[in-house]
Amino acid sequence: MSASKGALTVAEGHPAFITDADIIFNNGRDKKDFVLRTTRDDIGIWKTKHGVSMSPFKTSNGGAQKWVARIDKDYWVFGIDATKADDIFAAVKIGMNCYDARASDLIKDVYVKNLNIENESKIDRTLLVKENKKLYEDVCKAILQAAKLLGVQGQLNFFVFSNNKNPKLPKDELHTALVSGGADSVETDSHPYKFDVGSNDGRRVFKDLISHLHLATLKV
Amino acid sequence: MDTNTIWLIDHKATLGDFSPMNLDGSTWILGVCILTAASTEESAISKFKDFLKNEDMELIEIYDLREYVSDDFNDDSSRSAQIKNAVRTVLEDGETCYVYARTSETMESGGVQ
Repeated sequence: MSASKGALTVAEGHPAFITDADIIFNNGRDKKDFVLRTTRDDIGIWKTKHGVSMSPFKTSNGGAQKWVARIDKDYWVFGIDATKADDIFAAVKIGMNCYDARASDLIKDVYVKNLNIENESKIDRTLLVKENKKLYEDVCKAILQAAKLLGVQGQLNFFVFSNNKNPKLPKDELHTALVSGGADSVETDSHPYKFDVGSNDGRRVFKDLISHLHLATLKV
Repeated sequence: MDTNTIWLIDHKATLGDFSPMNLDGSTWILGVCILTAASTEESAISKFKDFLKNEDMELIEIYDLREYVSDDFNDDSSRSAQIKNAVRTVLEDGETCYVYARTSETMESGGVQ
């Protein structure tokens, strides 16, 4: 499948609100042949939150064992902490098996939508921006490290959907975090996007929430 | 206390910067809150206001307050689908859900498409 093109998504929630991994800048589309979707939640918690029926299996491919399921047309890997290079490594290795793909086909385009720290209501407000910055910084570092472990070289694209005015991570703070995480450059698409969005806990659903697309370019 | 009634509260509320519902810097929000309470409207409104307070939100106006009747949501709109899905979740564990949320940023940019 050397001519194929894939992508990796992190921190997915309900399948009804998956991250659109075909979007590129200027409202363009770059259709992916396959998308490996990952959730932060372990499979048990995720099933409880979202009540999706599926037939999961446990597997590994040179990394840690993870639960995997096919949902609609995509493979999903559960319990992937995107701040940990080992978890991203394990997911990509599994995805290579699932899709008969190369590591670079998956990790060269990484997407995330509205990533934010868990249990935010329990965290001091003054620390929210700082904690979210650290989260993005750590994810950048983990993607870079995972790419190295996978033997992938060259440019990686980390696409982030986040509203420029998100009070818990305004645009400038997001960009600072991505650069701190190792991004060579960060750009923001001038075209705003609208998505239906589900919260981490699956209890809140937004209609047509405005989001902006940021691209952090990482070099391995 | 009887908490077996499922209530739907269609409303407008303010949205604080640090509300878990605030992902876009909005100042207000429209939404449908789905919760279990006793069978009186007062019980439902009381629980709803507690929910809003915890979310750094404040009630501006209730547009509609009603007990859930499944026949009311048989159309194929995303609003009905979100409400039915939330009712299923609320019935399972009794935790409050909030759906069809439309923020001031969404509404002021041309609204729901």
